[in-house]
Amino acid sequence: MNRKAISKRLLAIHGALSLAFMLLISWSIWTGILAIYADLARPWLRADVAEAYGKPAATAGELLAFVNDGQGAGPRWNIVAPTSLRPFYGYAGPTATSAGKPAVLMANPATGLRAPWNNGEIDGLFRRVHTDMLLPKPWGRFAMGLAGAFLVILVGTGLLIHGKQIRDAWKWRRSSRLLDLSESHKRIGLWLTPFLLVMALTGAILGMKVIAAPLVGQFIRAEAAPAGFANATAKPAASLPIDYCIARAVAAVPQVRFAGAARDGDRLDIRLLRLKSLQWSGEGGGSVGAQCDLASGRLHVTQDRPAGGAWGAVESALRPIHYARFGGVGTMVVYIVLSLLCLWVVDSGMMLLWCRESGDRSGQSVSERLYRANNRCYVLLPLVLIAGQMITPHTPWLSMTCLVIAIVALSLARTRGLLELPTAYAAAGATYLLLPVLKYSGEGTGRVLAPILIVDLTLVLTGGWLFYLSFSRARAGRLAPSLGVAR
Amino acid sequence: MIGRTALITLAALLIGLPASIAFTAAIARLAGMAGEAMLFAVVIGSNLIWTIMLFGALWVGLADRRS
Repeated sequence: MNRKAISKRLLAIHGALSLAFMLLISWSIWTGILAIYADLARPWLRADVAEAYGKPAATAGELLAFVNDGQGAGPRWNIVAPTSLRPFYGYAGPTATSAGKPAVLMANPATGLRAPWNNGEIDGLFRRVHTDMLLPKPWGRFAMGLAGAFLVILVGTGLLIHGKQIRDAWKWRRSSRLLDLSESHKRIGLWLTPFLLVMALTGAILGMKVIAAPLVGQFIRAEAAPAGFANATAKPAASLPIDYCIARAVAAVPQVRFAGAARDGDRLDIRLLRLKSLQWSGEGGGSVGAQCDLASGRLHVTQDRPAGGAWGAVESALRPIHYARFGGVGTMVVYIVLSLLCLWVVDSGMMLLWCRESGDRSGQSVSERLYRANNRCYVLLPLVLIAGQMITPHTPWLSMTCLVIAIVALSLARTRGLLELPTAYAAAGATYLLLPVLKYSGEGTGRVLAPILIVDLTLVLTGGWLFYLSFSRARAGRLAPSLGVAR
Repeated sequence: MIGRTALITLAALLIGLPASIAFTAAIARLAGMAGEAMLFAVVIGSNLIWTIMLFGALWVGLADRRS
């Protein structure tokens, strides 16, 4: 097999995989951007969350008293500790007002924040649309994992199609629009290779492990031998405070911080995170934890170092790396910008594919129209979602569903030109620009926080970009008849 | 092309994924791994092997039969 035949086969794989799974691959990147954006959008949408930024968090005991209106904490609950980007506790369990039924809340006693969390509303929705595609486990997660595996193959084949790819990494031929498109796909794709591979590989493993982990888990026996008793001193049990157990657990293992706790009767499982290491609490090899017997006061460190050796350390680092849970707001912005470029690489690749296959009839195939409809949803769905959240505090599911149906129907029908009218772009752009105006006219400027400024900036930039598209389309429309160019 | 790619992927999932998990688990066991180390090694390794396996299947399945 000569080099030309190999290139041809690689190009066939690259194109076929893109065409067959174009929406899944595109969704994985777009929803990934939203998942990271969730932490920035939350304080923008909620003044009570913004208020909690930078303020010292209350203790777990204070939180439990807060969600239970000062009454004793229930026998079963789970809490997640605040982080710098999430200045509140996550609480799952019954509350004073839930009549014994479990509720999932974000709560911060210091600022009085107590609201549903991790549900279908904006921040939970933004995250879960990526992790599970809003489907029941394991299907959505597995599909996202598959998209990661496809991206790995696309990056690998894309790199090897042309031998001169790496040699020409910094060359850019700008002799025609089509060539420009081709160059941007190849060059930007090449520059993004490290980021794309890291995100695709971590995403593929995280998603597809929903199949492998339970299967293998059946065959291995838990070998978690007790690591020793940090403090066997018993303490009178009846009113043993939760905070006392947590403080002892944090003190018992060096270089850790409190990450979360779950109570089941007298048993309190405390999750800890090692400082200065890429870890995800409560899951995988990075877990460090202790168990406290609330009846006797005995503390038992169940795991004082990551399990699973090097494999465990790698597995534990997958989530922080994939979700930019290290660094801070700056890291998240870099991830978002790089992911937008990845989305452009996918877009430019699809356009090239259709140009190559359809030639002059580009824009006619059903797959191309569907893909364009999907891109229009990317622009308009967040707009309806955020506007809906601002007007009513809930996700406007009906409006969003109607919008998707209308866009897909119009894009597939002959009337798709309606969606490309300059006025349509201008209207969408104006609505994007109106969102910050609405926010600040309603409640004043509020706190000035980096995440809020970034969301303001993204709304203004998106609005500006849509206006630019509107003007450029209007200009092209005016020029086309005089040049005798059929649109 | 789309249909063939989807079929190859489906076959790779139904046959290849369990096979790659079993293969990685066997290699890990032979290497003396057990417990959580084995679990994490299989979770990571089986995914990599499956991805390579899918690439191989596409390489064979998408060959141009006219040439």
